[in-house]
Amino acid sequence: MDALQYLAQGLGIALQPINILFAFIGCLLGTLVGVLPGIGPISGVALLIPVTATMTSGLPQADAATSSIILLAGVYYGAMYGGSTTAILINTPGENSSVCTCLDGYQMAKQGRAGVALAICAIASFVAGIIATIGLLFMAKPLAEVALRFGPADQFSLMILGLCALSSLAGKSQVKAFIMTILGLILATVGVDPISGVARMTFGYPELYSGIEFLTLAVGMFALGEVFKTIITRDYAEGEPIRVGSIIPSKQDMKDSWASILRGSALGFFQGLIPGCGATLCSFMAYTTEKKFSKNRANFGKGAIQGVAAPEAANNGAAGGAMIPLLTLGIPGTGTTAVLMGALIMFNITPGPLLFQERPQVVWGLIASMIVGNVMLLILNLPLVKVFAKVIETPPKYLIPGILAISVFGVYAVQLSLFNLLLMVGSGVAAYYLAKNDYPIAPLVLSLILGPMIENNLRRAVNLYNGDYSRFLTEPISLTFLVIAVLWVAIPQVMKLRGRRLEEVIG
Amino acid sequence: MGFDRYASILFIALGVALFFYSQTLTSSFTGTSIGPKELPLFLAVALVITAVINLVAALRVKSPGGKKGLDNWKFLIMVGLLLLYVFLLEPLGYVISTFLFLMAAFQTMERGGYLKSALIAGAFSGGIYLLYVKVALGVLPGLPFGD
Repeated sequence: MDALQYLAQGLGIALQPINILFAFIGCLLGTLVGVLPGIGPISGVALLIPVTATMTSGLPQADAATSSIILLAGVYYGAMYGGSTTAILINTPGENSSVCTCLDGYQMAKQGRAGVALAICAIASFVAGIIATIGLLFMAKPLAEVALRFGPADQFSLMILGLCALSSLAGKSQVKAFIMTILGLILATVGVDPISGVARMTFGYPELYSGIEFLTLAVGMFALGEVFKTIITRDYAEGEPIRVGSIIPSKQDMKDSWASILRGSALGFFQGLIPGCGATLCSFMAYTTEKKFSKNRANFGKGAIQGVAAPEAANNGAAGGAMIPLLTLGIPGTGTTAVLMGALIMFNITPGPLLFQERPQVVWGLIASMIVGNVMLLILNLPLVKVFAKVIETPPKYLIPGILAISVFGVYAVQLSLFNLLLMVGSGVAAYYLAKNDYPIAPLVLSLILGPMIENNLRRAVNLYNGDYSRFLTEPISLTFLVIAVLWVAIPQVMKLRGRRLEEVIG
Repeated sequence: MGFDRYASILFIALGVALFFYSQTLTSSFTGTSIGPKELPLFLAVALVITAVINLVAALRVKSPGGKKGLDNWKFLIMVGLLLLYVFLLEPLGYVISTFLFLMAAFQTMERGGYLKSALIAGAFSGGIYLLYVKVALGVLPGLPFGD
């Protein structure tokens, strides 16, 4: 059994005391950040990258990378869980993917069953996380081996597919998403071109020679952007959190929800595999599926435990599923995995098929740490639920300036440059106005990360084929990816047009 | 909406500028491969095309009137404070500039509670400095009058 052997190897790494400590810190920080009003998983992970970098700076480089990624993965899962806590206790989803959890979770809380709802969330997250990890374990290596056979043209087309997938599903307007994607690609060309050594768009600023720092932009656009939005719209999470009460689910609760958890996990995992689907979409799908299958459909929206269990499982299953395209193909499927990928690159790890050959200790350590992290979250969350409920009450007066100060500290500690701080503030302001007007931020950050790789593969391919562009369309794998990319973009448009025509005919 | 129109015009301008800028970049050294010039050139054209489509869509939609109660002042003051903080970070050092920023920002969010604000600001700035510089041996600007 190959996979089990790798898992054992990975567990050997993940169970080193220092890495258990990092997984613990990651889950704790992630949950705290997820619970704090105004910070979702994307901004949480972005905000904590510099903190991670500084925490692991004392370790040797190879170990530092593994430990940092373990810490960040913990943050990712923790933040997902934290978002559900606020959804249940104050009816405010920490992120879009816990919108569904609000529907029945808050109702359960009003009936005095907040503790049970939170416990079911923790259990559902745990089961989904484990199922996704098992899937990852068996699928990652074969997929990476297939991907290794891709030529530069195939890789180029695959990345174009990744960009199209994320852009076509992000936000209300596809055109706006494409504008953001192109802007990200343009920003990615800033700096010294690694092949020819020509400086592009640096305008004499030495800070720009190495390109626009991903970290600066991610913290600015996600963390500051969200904080600015909170300030302007006075979107402070108000309202007393409901008392948590008993956190032990009854036998009946478990009996009611186990099937929903399993269905939700599987649905989430497979949707997570598809780039761009995202946790939000699949938590909605899981909710509606449960509602359709349920015998007591009328109970949904009034505190049905299945309505909490299924979307929570789906959203965490998707988080795990999204790791597969990220690790094996180097294609992040969601905004948060895009930020994770940026962090990996920061630590000199390029996700993709080669990673399994070149840095097996990092990959398998990470995969095993997902299991450790899930166990950690379960142990951490159930007893600490009441503490996290207190964190929600942090007054915005102190919270918002605090987040701003942490952002400044983080970016300055890693980059040591005022230029980057100014860029961070500027991109935060820009991100607020862009996001407010439905220009999605995630495609910009994703293309900033993928940009250099796309250009590199494009040039390699064109060089290899002696300038024959038609090879992108005649290589079968490349053609397949490009056709899927076109369909991905075109189908929603065609459906929209059809819908409009139908409306015209009817009305 | 007004924003879409201005943003589209800005993007078109950016695309045109990038188009002319990329003309100044060197093309490929060998005849067949792509140099540093081609991708920016292609992106410039793509940006102009998508921005024009966006502009046309924006011109078709009438901008909705009426504004919600927004806290623009607080936002502007906060961005101003943040910029001041960034510029004072190196001259004043981390501890003092962070303390001042937090005090000012706390009071901008809500007046009053000076003692509590000072305690939190002091604990935050001093705590981060001690942990990061003294324990983790990182680098942050020290105190202006020497360590």
